[in-house]
Amino acid sequence: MTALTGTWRLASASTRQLLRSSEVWATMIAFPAALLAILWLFSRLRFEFGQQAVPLIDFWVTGLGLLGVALGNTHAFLATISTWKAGGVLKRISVTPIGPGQLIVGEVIPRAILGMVTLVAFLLAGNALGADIRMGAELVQALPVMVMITFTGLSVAFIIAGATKTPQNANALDTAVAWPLYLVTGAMFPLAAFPAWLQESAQFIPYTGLIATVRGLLLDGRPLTDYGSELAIGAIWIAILLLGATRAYRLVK
Amino acid sequence: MTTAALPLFRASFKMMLRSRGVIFAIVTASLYIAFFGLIEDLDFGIGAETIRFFDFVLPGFAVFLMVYQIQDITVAVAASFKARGILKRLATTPLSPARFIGVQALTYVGLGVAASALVLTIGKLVGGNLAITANLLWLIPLVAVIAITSIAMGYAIAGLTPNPQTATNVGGTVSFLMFGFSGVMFPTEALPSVLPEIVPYAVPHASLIEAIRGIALSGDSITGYGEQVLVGLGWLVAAFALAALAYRFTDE
Amino acid sequence: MTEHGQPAVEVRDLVKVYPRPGGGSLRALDGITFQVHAGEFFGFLGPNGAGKTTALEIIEGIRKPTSGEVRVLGIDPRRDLDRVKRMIGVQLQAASYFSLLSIEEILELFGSFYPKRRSPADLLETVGLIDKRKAYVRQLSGGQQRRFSVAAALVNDPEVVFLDEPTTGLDPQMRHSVWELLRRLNRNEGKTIVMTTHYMEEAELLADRVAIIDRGRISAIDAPRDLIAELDGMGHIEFATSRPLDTSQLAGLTGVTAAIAKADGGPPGALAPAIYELAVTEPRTAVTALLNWSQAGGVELRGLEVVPGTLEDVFLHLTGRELRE
Repeated sequence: MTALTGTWRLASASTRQLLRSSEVWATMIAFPAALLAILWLFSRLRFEFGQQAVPLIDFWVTGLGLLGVALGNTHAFLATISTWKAGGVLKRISVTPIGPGQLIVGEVIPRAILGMVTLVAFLLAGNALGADIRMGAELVQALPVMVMITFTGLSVAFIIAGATKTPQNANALDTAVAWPLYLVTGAMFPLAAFPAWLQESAQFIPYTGLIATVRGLLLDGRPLTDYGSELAIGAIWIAILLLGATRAYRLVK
Repeated sequence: MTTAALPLFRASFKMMLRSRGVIFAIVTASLYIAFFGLIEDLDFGIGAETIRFFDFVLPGFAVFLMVYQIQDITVAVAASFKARGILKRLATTPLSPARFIGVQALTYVGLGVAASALVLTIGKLVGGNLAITANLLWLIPLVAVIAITSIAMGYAIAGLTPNPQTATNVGGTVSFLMFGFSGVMFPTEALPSVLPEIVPYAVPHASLIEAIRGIALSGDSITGYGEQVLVGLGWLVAAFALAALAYRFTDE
Repeated sequence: MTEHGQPAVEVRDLVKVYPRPGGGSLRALDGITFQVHAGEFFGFLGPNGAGKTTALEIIEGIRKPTSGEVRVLGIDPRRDLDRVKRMIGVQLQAASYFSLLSIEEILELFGSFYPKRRSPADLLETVGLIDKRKAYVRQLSGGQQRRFSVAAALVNDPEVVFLDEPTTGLDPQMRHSVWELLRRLNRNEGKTIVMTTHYMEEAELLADRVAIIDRGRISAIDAPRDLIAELDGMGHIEFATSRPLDTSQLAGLTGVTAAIAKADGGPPGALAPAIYELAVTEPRTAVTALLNWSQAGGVELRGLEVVPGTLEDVFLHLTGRELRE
C-alpha cells in the first residue's frame, strides 16, 4: 500500500466517523441553524457606530457565524486528538506500517473540508435569509481566507492537545481560550466602536484580520489586495501555530 | 431541622465554589461587562429608533449571563448525579432527596444574586447608566425567581435526557435560544409582526428581564410591572412542575 | 436495639414482578423467604441477574416489592422507612460520591443525616484510609474506593450493614484487604452483615450462612461447609481433550450429574483444547466410567483432575447452571 492509498483510506474512515458523530452534528448543524434562526428574526436590527450602520445579520453571519463554525470545528477536532493522545492510539499506530503523520493528515483533511463546506453553506443560508452578502466572484476570493481561518483553528487544537493531559482539561482550556476571541476579534461587536488602542492591538490576535478581510470582501465588495497586512499577519500566525503544533503534539515520545 | 440543614449548606457551598463551571461563569460575566465598558460609540438601530447598546445590555446581560450559566451548570450537575447513582445512594439515608435538591438550589440562587450584584457594580464603575435608587433592591427577588426557574429547567432537561452528554447538548441549545429571544442581548421590539407582544409570555424570563431593565435604568418602582412578575412566577411554577415530573431519584 | 432472639432481618414470600417491554412479565423475585440472625454474616450467592440486588434494594427500602413481608430489626420498611434507614448502613453496587468533596467531607456530610454518627477520622482509621482524608474519591485506587464506600456505609454506626457485591472488579490483593475489613466489622464490632456476591470463595470465606439464589428463587440456606457436606463426597472432574465431545453423553456416565464444556476446542486438531467439567456424586466411580468410555471411543484425555466440593459445585448441583458465565 502506497503512502497515498493509506492516507486516503484513513481519510475515508475518519469521514465516516465524523458524519456519525453527534458532537459534530451539534456544532456544525444545530448551532449554526439556531444562530441563523435568531438572526433572521432580528433582521430589522442594526449596529450603528460612528458614521456607519450595519445590519446585525450581515455583521454576525460574516463574523460570529464564521468564527463559531471554525472554533466549533476546532473543538470537535480537539476532542478527537486529545482522546488519541490519552488513549495511546498514536503509540499503537506507530507500531504499524501506517505513519502517525498519515493518521493525522487523514484526520485533518476531512475536517478541513467539512469546515469549509459548513462555512460556505452558512454564508449561502445567511444570504438566503436576508443578509446582504455578495456571492459570486467575491465569495471565490473569500475562500482562501476561509481556508486560513480553518487551519488556524486546527493548529490551535494541536497545541492545546499537546499542552494538556486529559480530554477534559483540553476541553476546559479550549473553552477558556475561545470565548474571549468572540469579543476581541470583532466577530461579535464592531471594533470601530472601541478605543483606538484596542483596535490596533486586536490586529495582532489570530482571526481578527481574517474576519475583517472576509467582511470587506463580502459586505463592501473591496478587493483582496486591500488586505495585504491582514493576510500577512494571518499567514504568520498559521506558521507559528503549526510550528508550535509539531513541537507540542508529540507523535512518538 | 435547621441544624440538620447547616452541614448540607456547607457542603453545597464547598462543591459550588470548587466547581470549574462556576468560577468560569463569574469570571467571564465580569470580563464581558468590563469589555463592554470600553465601548465608545455603539447603538442598536431599529427603524428610526436608536438604543444605546451598553445601557440596553447591561441589566439583562450582567444579571442573566450568570443565570443562564446556572442552567447549564445545573443540567450538567443534575444529569451527572442521576447517571452516577449519587441520588440512589442518598435515597438509602434519612435525607429526603427533595431537601437535598432544595438546599443545592438555594446555594445557587444565592450565588446568582451575589454574582449579579458584582457584575452590575462593575458595569456601573465602567460607565453604565444605572439608576441607583432604593427600587434597585427589587432586583434581588426578581433575580432569585429567574435563578430558581433556571435551576428547575436544568433539572427538567436532565430528567428528560438519557445521559449527561445529551443533557449538556440539549441544555446548551435551550440556553442559547433563550439568550437570543429573552431580551437579554437584543431588543425584542426588533422582531417582526406580532412577536414582540408574544415573546414576554412565550419565552421564560423575558417578562422579568423587562421589569429588571426598567427598574435598573429608569429607577421605576416594581408596581408598574405587576403583569411581568405574574408571568415570571407562572414560568417558575411550570418549570418546577416539569422538573418534579421528569427528574427521578430512583427507579422503582 | 434487637430484643434477645429477634432476627436482624426477616423476609417472607417476597415477590417482585416487572412488566416486560414486549408484553408479559418478569419475576425478578419469586417468593423468597429467609432470616438473618443478629451478629451473623449472611451471604447471598448467585450469578448476575439472580435477583440479589433486587432483594437487597427492597429490604433497604429503595425499591417496592410486589408482595411479601420484610422486617428489619423488627420494623417494616413500608411502615416506618425513616426508622429503618437510621439503623442500617448500605453499600450499593455501583454508586459514586460527590466529586468535589474530600472523602472526609463526604463522611461528615453523610453523618449529618443521622441522629447518631461516628467521626470521619474514626471511620477512615477503621478502613485504613486516614492518610487520604483530604483526597477526592477519583484520586483513590479501586480498592481504596471500595473501602471508602464501606466507611460511608458505617457513618451512623448501624446495627445491620448491607453490601452489594463489595469486591467485584477488584484485583486479588484489593479483595483481600476488603475481606479483612469485613471480617473485623463482623467479628470485632459485632455488626450483622448481609452481603451479595457471585464469588464462591468470598462466600465460603466470610459467611456464617449462605443462601443460594438463582432466577429469583432460593434453593438452599446453610453454613458453607454444611452445604458442601451435603454434596456427600461430590466434587467435580476437570479434563481436556483434543476434540469436542457430546456433553449429553458425558452426563450419562455413571456417577456424573452434570457436564459442561468450559472452552470449545473448535475443529479437530485445533491448538486450543476443549475443556470439560463434570459434576460427580462419586468421584471414583465416575473416573472409572470416564476412562472406560474414553478408551472405547478413542478419545484422548489430558490433565485429568479431581476437585473436592466447593460452593460452585453446590450451585451447579442445585440449579443445573454455572455460577459464573
